[in-house]
Amino acid sequence: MTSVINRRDLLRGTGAAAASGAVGIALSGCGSFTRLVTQPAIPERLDVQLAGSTDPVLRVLNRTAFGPRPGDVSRVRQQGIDAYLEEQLKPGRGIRHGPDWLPVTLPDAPAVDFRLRLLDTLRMSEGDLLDIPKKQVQDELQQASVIRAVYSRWQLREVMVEFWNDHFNISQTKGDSPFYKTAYDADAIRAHSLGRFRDLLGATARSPAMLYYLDNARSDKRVPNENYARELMELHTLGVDGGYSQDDVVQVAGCFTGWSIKDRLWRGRFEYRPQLHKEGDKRVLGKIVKGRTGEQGVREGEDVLDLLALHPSTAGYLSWKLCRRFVADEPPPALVARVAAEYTRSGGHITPTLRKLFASQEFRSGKGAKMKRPFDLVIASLRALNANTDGKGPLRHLGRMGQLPFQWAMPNGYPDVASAWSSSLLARWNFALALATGGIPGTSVDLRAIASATGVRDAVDGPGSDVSARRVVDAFSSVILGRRLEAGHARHLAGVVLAAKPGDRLPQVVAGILAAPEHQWR
Amino acid sequence: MLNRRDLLRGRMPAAAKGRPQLLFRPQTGPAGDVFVCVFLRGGMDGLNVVVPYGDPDYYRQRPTLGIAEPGRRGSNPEARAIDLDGFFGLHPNVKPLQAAYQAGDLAIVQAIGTPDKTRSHFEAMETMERGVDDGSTASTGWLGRHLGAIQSSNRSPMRAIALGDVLPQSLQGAIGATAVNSLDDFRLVEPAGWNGRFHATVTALYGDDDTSVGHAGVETLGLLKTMSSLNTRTYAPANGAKYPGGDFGSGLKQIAQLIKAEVGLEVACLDLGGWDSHVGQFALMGYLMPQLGEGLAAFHADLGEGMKRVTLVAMSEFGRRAYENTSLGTDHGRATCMFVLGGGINGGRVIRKWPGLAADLLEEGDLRVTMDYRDVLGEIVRNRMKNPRPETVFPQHNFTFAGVTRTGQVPT
Repeated sequence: MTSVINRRDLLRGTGAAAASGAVGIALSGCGSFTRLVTQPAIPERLDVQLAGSTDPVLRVLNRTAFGPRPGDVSRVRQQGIDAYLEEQLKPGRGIRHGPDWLPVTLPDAPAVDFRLRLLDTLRMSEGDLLDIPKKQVQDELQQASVIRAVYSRWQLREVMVEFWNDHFNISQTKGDSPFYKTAYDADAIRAHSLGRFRDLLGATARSPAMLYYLDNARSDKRVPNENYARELMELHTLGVDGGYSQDDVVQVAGCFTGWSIKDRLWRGRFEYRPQLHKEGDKRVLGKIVKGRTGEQGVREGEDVLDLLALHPSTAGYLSWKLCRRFVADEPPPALVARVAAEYTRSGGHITPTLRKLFASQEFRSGKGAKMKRPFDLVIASLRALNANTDGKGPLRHLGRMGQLPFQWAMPNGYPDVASAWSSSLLARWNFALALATGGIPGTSVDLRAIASATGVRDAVDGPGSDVSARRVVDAFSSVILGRRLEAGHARHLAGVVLAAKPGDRLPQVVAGILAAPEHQWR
Repeated sequence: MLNRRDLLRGRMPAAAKGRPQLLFRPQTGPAGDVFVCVFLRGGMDGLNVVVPYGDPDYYRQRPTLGIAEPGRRGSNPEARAIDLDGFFGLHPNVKPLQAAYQAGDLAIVQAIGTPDKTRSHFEAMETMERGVDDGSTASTGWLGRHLGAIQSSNRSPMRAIALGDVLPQSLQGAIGATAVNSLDDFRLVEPAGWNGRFHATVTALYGDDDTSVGHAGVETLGLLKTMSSLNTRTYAPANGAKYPGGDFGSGLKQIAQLIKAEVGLEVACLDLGGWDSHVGQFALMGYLMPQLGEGLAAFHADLGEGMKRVTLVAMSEFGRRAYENTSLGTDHGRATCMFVLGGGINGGRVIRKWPGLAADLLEEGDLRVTMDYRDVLGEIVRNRMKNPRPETVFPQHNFTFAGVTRTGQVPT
């Protein structure tokens, strides 16, 4: 009697598939294929990089990506930084829209695609998501963000998706937000993360998620709700010093009355309601926004977005935030100015703006310290050790470190300065311990394979000596950090390797490097 | 003068022996009181915990459930209310609160509530914890806003904690707030067979790193050392204080321990749930009230003089109906009572604008709300927690302070 085996059971080795032994049969036949798609291989030989100062290739991989996977540094060095960045600035073919609301994600690295297929809620519309238990919707999106950051070949896009998700923050902690957030992440953020800022802005403004989170869905002509209008200018475009007044907030709120969410039929999608719209001309930032009636009233909001997207204050504010993300907590004002000029010159296009930033001397010179936020640290660690992860186990640690994806309650997104994250160290150390000792459920690292590739397997297994211990430390600092540790730190860890039982050597040295101050910086 | 290396080697100056401290950030800690927020979840029946025995309508509304007035002849003396001020009395199950009340450290506020009229646990809790008129508008909590608003140099990892699995909504928006099930969770989870090797490694690696990360690391190590010396099992409360058994008692005890350890704790949140007394109120309340009474009393006694820098508020999302139901219980109501405990509190009083319990004085069968919870919390935020702008914490509210703090009867 054959039972119906569905794909999910087969992949997980659960249910009917496991019961019928189908898993063993399926995998033995194409076992290497399955391993190929789930787990990118590490190169057979990994060079041990012992540069002391920061390598520009390393900086690019630490800043424009979530850190190198084994072999990435050599590969990018060979390809050349400029060629690599050009490739990353134009990822695959990005997200394409299917019928109206269903985004169709084109295949990324198989490792991503394979894991994301197991998460049904990612492909559902807002209306359908409203019927799924909230926790499942929340969890799957969080899981997906870890999976994509670890495995995607389009690392810059993932970095920008994180940036825009903070910039246009919508937290999952408010009421029905989780149901809208999943579609928002795909349709608004991912679809436009490297495109025209005006398109991104428009997509967020129309998204049911934003309309709900900042209350515009409930705004009407009697009492226009000012929440969205204010955050639109303060956080999304001009910045708090961008030169808008309280009166502008009131006028903009009026422009957006009527922008709402369907509650029947295609429940959960954008709907413009002319009957809620406050009519008449509005005056915003010294310009007249012509009042329109009926269905045309929606154009008033669009006019405001046009006005804001290319406003000089927006150019300055966005550039400042981008420079803070990529260069330093206190970005050099001259660089901000040049990047802002490029934003304006390109008509508000994100890709040329980034290109200008990445070509700058300030970016390439290696100056400017950026601390890894918890998400940066977790992802970089998983990538560096070629971890096999389902994206779930690491979430617990992210929670303890204070950066669980999409859980920042305020519209301004997770802070991007080192001082905000100093209280997360204990949780980072415990994460390092858990990862190195196989203590994260659903996540595993093969430290011996890395030891083989770096040519120190004999040093790990054999009798210890100062030299062999040092080789192990150097190999793993190269893999995890891309460079050597401070001399004193390397000496200390060599002592740890020497003193440890052979079975403990690798976990102890890896835990130590993952926890080291050097690894907390990007 | 102690330097960092001495600290890492565990050498303490003689004066500080017996009480490890963080020595190179002397300003770590709140500018005002440590605030402890106890949330009594389920809708606590304020009418039976702080009994308005002086109001004859109370006995008309609760012929069976009513608690006898202090002097009632023929009734079991153990079951009578304990007089507070000639009108209100404590339910005998919370008798331990009498000491703090008489010492002037405990104020009770009656007929207090929120604007929420849904009588839904979820809605009312959200409204109260968000600190707004309408729970759906804000995504941050009032404590989160307070911690974010005040200029503070307090970077302690233990600045804001919640005992439990998750952060309560009141702390949403607070950077660095942590939920811990127990203080014992605050440790390095190193395999036993490693013999502390990992701890030694982070100590060595962070000890000579002169960046902000290095400093934060040393501070965290100091905190770990302090926390590991706080053995929650062998902690001996001062002044003979005896905490009740159970999670609430143990939670309060840990908070007291943490306050005394001076690790920079500014806000602590703790729940005591289960107050939803629709059925068989005597049994349910009989189990919960001793925990509340003994817990708060023990906390007060344990901290002793330390209460001068601590304010604790116990609140509930709503109260119960004025009249008992047919299942010997009470259903969801509106106004309830609030407990405010602290050295800086104008205690020994039951603060209220008593609306009365006659049928025509009730609001849809409920005790009318005559004081908004934000009036009490706002005054505490300003006068005890030293936040000069309580309107940023409770944005939609016009304050009418009730004089619950000792720094005077302040005009709004």
